[in-house]
Amino acid sequence: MIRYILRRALEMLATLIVASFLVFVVCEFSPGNVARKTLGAFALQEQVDLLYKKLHLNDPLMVRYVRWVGVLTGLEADPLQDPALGLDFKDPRGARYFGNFGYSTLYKAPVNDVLWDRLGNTALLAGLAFAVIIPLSLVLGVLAGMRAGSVLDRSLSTLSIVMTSIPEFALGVLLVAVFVVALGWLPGTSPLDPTSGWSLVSQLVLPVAVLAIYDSGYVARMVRTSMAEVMAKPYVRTAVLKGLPHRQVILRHALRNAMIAPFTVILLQINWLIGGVVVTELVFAYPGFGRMLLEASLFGDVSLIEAATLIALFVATATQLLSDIGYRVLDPQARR
Amino acid sequence: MSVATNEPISAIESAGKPAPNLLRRLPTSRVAMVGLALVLFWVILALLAPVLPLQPPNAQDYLAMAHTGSSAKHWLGVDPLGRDLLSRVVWGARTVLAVAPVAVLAAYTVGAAMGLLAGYYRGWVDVAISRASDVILSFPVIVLYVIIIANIGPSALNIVVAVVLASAPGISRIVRGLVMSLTHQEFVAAAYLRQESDVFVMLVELLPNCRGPLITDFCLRLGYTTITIGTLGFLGLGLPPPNPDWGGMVKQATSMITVFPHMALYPTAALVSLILGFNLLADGLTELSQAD
Amino acid sequence: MPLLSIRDLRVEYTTMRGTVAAIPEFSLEINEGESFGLVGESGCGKSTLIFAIMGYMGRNGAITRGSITFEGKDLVRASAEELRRIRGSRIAIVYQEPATALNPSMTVGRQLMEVPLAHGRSSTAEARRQAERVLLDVHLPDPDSVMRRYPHQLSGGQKQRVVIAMALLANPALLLLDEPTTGLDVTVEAAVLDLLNELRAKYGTALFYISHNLGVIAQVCERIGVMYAGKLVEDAAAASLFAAPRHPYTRGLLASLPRPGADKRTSPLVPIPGVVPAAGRAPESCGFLSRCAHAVNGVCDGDAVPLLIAGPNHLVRCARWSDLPAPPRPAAPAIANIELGGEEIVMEAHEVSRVFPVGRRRLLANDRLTLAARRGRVLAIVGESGSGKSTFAKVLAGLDAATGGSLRVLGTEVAGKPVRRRPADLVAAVQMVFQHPDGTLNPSHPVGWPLARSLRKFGIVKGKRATEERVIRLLDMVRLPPSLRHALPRQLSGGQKQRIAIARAFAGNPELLVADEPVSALDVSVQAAVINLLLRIQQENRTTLVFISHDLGLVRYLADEVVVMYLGQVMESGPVAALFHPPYHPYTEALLSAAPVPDPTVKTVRIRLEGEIPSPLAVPPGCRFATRCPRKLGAVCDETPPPMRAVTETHVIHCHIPIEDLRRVEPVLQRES
Repeated sequence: MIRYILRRALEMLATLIVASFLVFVVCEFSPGNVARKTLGAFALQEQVDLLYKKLHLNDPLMVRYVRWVGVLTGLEADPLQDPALGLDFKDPRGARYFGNFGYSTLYKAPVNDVLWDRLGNTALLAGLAFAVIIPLSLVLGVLAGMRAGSVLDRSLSTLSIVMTSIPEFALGVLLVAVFVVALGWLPGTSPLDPTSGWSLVSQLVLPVAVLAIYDSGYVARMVRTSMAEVMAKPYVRTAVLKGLPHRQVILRHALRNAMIAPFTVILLQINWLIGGVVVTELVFAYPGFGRMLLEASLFGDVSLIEAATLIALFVATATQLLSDIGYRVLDPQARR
Repeated sequence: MSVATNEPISAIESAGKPAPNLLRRLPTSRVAMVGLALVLFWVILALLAPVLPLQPPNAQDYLAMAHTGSSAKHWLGVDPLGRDLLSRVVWGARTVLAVAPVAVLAAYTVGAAMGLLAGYYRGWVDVAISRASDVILSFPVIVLYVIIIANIGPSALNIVVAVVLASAPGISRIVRGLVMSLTHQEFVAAAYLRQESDVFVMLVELLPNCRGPLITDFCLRLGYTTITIGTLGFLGLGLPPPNPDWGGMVKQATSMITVFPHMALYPTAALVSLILGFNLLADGLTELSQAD
Repeated sequence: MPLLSIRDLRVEYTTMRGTVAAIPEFSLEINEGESFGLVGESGCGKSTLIFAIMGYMGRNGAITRGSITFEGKDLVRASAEELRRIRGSRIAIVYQEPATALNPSMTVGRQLMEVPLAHGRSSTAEARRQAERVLLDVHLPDPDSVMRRYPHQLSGGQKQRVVIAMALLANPALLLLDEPTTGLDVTVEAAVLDLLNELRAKYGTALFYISHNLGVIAQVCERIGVMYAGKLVEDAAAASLFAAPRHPYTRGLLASLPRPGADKRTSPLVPIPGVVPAAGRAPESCGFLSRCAHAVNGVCDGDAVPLLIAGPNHLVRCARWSDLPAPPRPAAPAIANIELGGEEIVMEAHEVSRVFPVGRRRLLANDRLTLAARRGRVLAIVGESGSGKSTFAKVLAGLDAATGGSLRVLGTEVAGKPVRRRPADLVAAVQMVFQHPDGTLNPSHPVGWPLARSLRKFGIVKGKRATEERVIRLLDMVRLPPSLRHALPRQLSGGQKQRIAIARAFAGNPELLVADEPVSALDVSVQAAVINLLLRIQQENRTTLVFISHDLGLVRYLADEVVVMYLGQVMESGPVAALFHPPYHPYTEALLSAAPVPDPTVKTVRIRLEGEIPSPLAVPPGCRFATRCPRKLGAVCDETPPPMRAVTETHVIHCHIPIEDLRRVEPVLQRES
């Protein structure tokens, strides 16, 4: 088992490296943009060309990539923070340290100042949403799967299809129309500002609701499918025909096996909740990670994009790893 | 956005049991028929848009901006720039229905080819393709879209490219799984005993048997892609203005939502109904294929 | 009072196409301690019956009429709680597929202990003791270790013993067995059947055993019922049923089975024409009407025929049972002029090996096989799982390549050459028929398509019209109508699919046909038809047939020469007649003893092998069979590979025991005088 974890962790590292290289390539393919973006649209072309030369942006892609990795791991100093450039990019942690993602041209601050803050906000949102999604979809899915084909099952299925047919932003818009415009119970934006007149809690309700409604439908369906399949399996029949009480059949025989497939699906939702909630964050003006990434992409803040993507990738591969390990733990047959 | 993570598991489950007349049995499933009706409704509207008596979708009617709700001239009212909503909703259908199927078909072509090769040859071909798929799939989907579009610019073609890049690995995984279970079947051995070539076996013997699960997946993916296109529009990464694009329309109307909710609601309703149509169709098809 | 009494039972299912009566009318009685066997083919409703008794019919099934009385209580009208108390404690089931019947994520011990714990009788410690005791009863040594394992860590035979143990734990009065030995190897099956008999004697449990295999039922059951299209058509004591079958279906079944002493030259198999009607489609009067040679209008197609008394303890559902003529002597077979074929050697294997590297170890699937087949003759290769017979079949056909030795087919050396590297005319000359009718045809293509394709690839005919004509002729050769060439595989029955597979193989006019268990997956009444077809075509074309099977009865019927394999090696080979009486290889002897014979008058000497078939990854250096051989001499068997001893020029045995000793062994099959 340990060997398996180690092996997968190494693979994860390899995937991360390759993916980060790809991101680097896509973002820094046209190095002229890097210099331009750093200085902003109003800078003079000579300044841009000067910066271009100073940052050695005409080096081959591979070299620049290695340099970036070097800065990140603290082996090199971030060239943008060189005071000789006169750009006034200051990082209180110094120009050279482990985990130096560089300087954000959009927010005019070190990336690390922006990134972790936003990530924390999104984590809060994700955590709350997760806490609602898991119990809701598990209960609904198990109940529906237990009585596959019944009225309860069909109505839940239809409900979940409808829920997954409404894109996040549409759901956000609809909820806002009802709870903010019509009823006025909740605020229309959630900038996490305690001074805005709405409590922090009330600011969180709608974004969490959007995420929860949208995702529960999907997860509930996966749970339902798995449960229905397990209920039809011969070993459940064996349990019933052994004379076991119904409750024991469900809890001890069916559920245990039914939860194996959804477990991986649920873990993958974490992945989505971190990177994929940009739409909700946008609708509610929530200061989150996804929105930051979107704005950085639109602006062309290369360092921030690269950093954020790397974090998102890390979360993705880590959850994949966790789900693989969990799968092996839960399913004795997979341990062979 | 949950496109790549929300893989339709049921499509993989029904491997090896194709139902070539699945489409013929469609009328027996009520769910599928409702879905089909919704989809056809929009398809017909989209096709007929140029000949319908609609206001020009990009014309701004300054007079109507005083009273933006329904009126005799503008049945659904106007958007923040004074453009007729009904007409923009109908023309918006054309945009979505032009891009989504093309994108999904393209993704299928690429994904199926990848999956066939990976599942058939296994060995290092499989490893290479699967690893590449893993790398792409490990990007949270929306991040992938944002990076691609933000860097290569928004246009219909680029959306297609982005969808292909994001969806092909998922499709290839499904096809790979199907192919791997099919190659064990004896009819494949019988084909070898005729000295058939690899290409023949892949395209003639194996691929037709993937049809069943893929048809269902196709409908589901059409739904996801429609969500994607809508969301990209909402994020400002869709087709550039002034093209009517439902997502973009919602975006423009969001700021007005407290005052004029209808401007956002109509395109939202249109989008939701189309996606619902695809999802119901897919659900019905899944039911039919499992009833075999 | 009988233990179980089923009266006028009717079970219906609601499907998308309406209501179907899977069991239109069924009546049966089983007494305490009795063992009753129910014989029927697929689709006759026997599994439905078992689950109806337990009250478990799924969402769409319901008992619409009749009663099931068990120990005085009507199960049909019992409450859910009453049913629960009976299940597992008074009536228990042994399932067909033990692998799926056991929960894969729960240890064996837990699953066993649940039974006494659920029926409220014991504490956990007591339940554990009971579980260990019953595991010993089913001959699973080291119960403590078994209980800690998960099902997938046990072999097939061990899993089935666990399922039997689980059923016995609460000491039920009635045990329902749903084809429990299907899917087990013959020697393992024999051991399980012995176990059942032993347990029955020990505990006095009544058995209700359903199967399609008359041989197995003859081993275990005192009374036998025959089921067809949802109804019981005959009910008699075992001896009586075999000696004097009354119902045309029963007679047909018995006539289509290979019996000891019968072979293809003297007594051909007589198949039952037609197919089993789909569930609920059989005529209410007599389900067998469409296939019966003795049906008479006015008598057989009126009201539903009831069960009539045909003798003491012998019931039959046939309106004409007393008028039926005595079973005719089988007509001289169409294959009457069976020449033995020529002397020319068509296939010669010399020390052929196929080794699979598995991690750091080697799997010796085929280990230095030496055998030969002559033109126009039928060579049977017999063995159980792990014997390597299927691997050899693939190597021969070219679907796999030998890793050592020499294999000459039709004069060409093909060892190490898979199909792609063989000359095209050789590929056409060596074709194969596979085991599973469901996987043998591409579900997306009409069944005529692979025939046309083969014709084209092998250059037999050119042009659309000529190809079409030839396809029709091929279909005719396998007795199928020309219109069928446009049908899709799922519209065909298993037997029809296998016929197409045979037609496909013969499209290229092969000289050597490899048939890998071609009838094992078919219903009994269909097997005979396909076997006859195969033999006829083989004779007409003088094709050499290499027939792989595990069914000794069938092999005895149709083979000219036989090779017995065990764990990758040849144990014995020779003409068929020589193989079935001493001298035998000890493994052949055990196989013969284990094979279930559909004739209770034939007694077999009991030779049972201990343990399971060992893994082909860890083969002993000496004789492969040494670990289980009941005639093991001693250390020499473990250490030295056995020499090849020739009984006659054509009959060889690989064994350390001298031939003279083997000659003196008691013959396995003995007829009761």
